[in-house]
Amino acid sequence: MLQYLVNRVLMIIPTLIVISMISFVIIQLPPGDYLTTYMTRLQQSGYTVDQSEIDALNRRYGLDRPIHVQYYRWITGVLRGDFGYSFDWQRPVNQLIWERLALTLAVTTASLFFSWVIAFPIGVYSAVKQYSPGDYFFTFLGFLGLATPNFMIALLLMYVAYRYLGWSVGGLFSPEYMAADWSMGKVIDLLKHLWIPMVVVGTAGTAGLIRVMRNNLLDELSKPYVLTAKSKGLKQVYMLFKYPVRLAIIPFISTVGWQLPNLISGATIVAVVLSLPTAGPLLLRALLSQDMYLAGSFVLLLASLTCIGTLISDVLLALVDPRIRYE
Amino acid sequence: MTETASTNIIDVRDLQVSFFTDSGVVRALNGVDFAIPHGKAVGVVGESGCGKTVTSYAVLQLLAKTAKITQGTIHFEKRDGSLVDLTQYKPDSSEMRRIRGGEISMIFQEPMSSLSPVHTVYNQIAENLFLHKGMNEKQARERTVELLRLVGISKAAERLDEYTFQFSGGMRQRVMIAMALAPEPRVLIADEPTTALDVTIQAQVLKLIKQMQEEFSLSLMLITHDLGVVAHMVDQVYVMYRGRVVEDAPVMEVFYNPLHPYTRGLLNSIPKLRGPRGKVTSIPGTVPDSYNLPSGCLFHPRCSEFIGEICRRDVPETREVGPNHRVSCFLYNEEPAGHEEV
Ligand SMILES: Nc1ncnc2c1ncn2[C@@H]1O[C@H](COP(=O)(O)OP(=O)(O)OP(=O)(O)O)[C@@H](O)[C@H]1O
Ligand SMILES: [Mg+2]
Repeated sequence: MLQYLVNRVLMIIPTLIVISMISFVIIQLPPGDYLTTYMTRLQQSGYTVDQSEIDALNRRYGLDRPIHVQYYRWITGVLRGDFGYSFDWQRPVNQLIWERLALTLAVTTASLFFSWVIAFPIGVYSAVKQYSPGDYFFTFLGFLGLATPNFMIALLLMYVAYRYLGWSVGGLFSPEYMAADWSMGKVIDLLKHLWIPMVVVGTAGTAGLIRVMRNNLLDELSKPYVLTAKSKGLKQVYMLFKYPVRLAIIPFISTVGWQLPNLISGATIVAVVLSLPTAGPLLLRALLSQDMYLAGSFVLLLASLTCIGTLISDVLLALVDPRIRYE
Repeated sequence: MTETASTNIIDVRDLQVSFFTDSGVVRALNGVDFAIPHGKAVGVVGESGCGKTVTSYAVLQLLAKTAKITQGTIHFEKRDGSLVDLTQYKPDSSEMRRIRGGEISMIFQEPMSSLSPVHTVYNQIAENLFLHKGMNEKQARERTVELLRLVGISKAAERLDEYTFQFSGGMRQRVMIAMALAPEPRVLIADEPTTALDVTIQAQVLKLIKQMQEEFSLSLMLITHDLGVVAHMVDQVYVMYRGRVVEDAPVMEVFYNPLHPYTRGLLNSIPKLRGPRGKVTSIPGTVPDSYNLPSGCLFHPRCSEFIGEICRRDVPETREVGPNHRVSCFLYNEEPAGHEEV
């Protein structure tokens, strides 16, 4: 088990290195860079720009150097905890991203739990009562959730919450807490706002998860060990959860791996609609303005989060499935 | 329901089971009669699909949701001596659960897939001890080690906490047997317990089952499609065809004096046992589908000794033709259809 864990963690390192390279290259791909965009904008509005000033900036950030040198400078900085400078915001990247990343993490984790908590019992129910009216009802509901665009659900929920419940629902905080320091009150305020993005982001994944759980369990229910368990005279529900459900959970857990990226990108669209102070909107803006260090850092950190997410799901998998542990 | 103690621990009469599927009604059992005397071993043989497994599942009430016992009784004599009809119990009732596992245990065909891959051997065996013997953790551990030793697993105390995928096929089937014996059942049903194993292992496992049956004076129901297996293992043989018992007799009687044309056909299809050397015949035709049963004797379309209209028209009665030897075939009617004009 320990060996497995160590292997799994070590495997992450090369993955992260490759991801950091790819994200840096992708961000550099569009023609031009932030400085040229910036200069053009200044010149268009009538300013004359001193060439020496440009050169100074270029030299300071190494923008005139080849790409691998730039990458090397950035990544060694990252390793020391310096993520570079955001041209657009004129502030170090460090000051911009952490809170947003934390909030992104909060929204995606909450969505993940939401979809699991909903999908697990419904999936079990649908499998055990296959082809019952309840099964059809949930299947229908699931496909409805799958087919409805996230932003649509977001708008609907916002409308309902605002119109009929009188809640302020945009964003993650009420105005009075927006700029406040972290406090108990702010956390509670966050939780009050979190549910809409949680439901919205979670819904799309839930439908898929219900199908996964239902199909896994149906598979397991027809296996011979279930009959053995029944032949022992165990109580029906106990038997169900100790054996087939226990095994059906295994592939269910591995869905975290592909759920996380979906959730993060799903959360971006929703964040724009709901004007959430998460990473998504900021990343979008950084990409549009070619704010390379900010964008690169975001991409790198989001990818790392995903890697860690899959690592967690792999560890969980090994915990529930001895066949993986003993390989 | 309580009657005087009988010679049979299980007595099945006119059992009919149908599966109600989307594509129609499958009549799997069409009036099965069979009994297991106390402490005796009976074998159930017949081609694939004749209803051997369904019969055993019906006894334990393990049938699929689509199945229904449409007629018949399954009398079982409980440990306390009372006689109950298992068809009267709901499958998930506590009475049925106490009997299933507690008094009647089952060994399945595939030791690989019939054990859970994510629970340890101890976990799966001890469960029976907690449930039916009310043991605590410590007692259960000791008893599990004993049971594993009993079925011939070496280093039992160490292997206890291993998973079943760490065992070989034959060893898994031994674990299965230990598990079935754990609640100290009185009846053991083994459904083709060696079909999935290597030939060399088969003999060992069968020997173990026989040994256990004798040691604990279990009543054994051994299901197989291999008549050769039956020869050394059981006292009475039931031959099934399409959801009916067509002949049953003491094991030697079956080999030396088979009466039903189907039984003879089965014997002729075994190499070495019967018939001129090297000549193995098979019964012509296959078991037809169970959606449409033929009229009269179910075997008549394949019968080599078809005697006329009566076979097609009437269902033969089961007649006692010798001590414990019964056959249902018109060949052995004492007054062969007086009203018949052949
Ligand atoms: N779940 C089911 N749904 C529909 N029909 C079934 C089902 N289970 C069994 N049957 C039918 O019942 C009949 C008897 O099946 P059974 O499994 O008892 O045969 P068997 O004698 O055990 O054969 P085998 O030697 O292959 O194990 C077969 O015709 C089969 O098609
Ligand atoms: Mg069978």
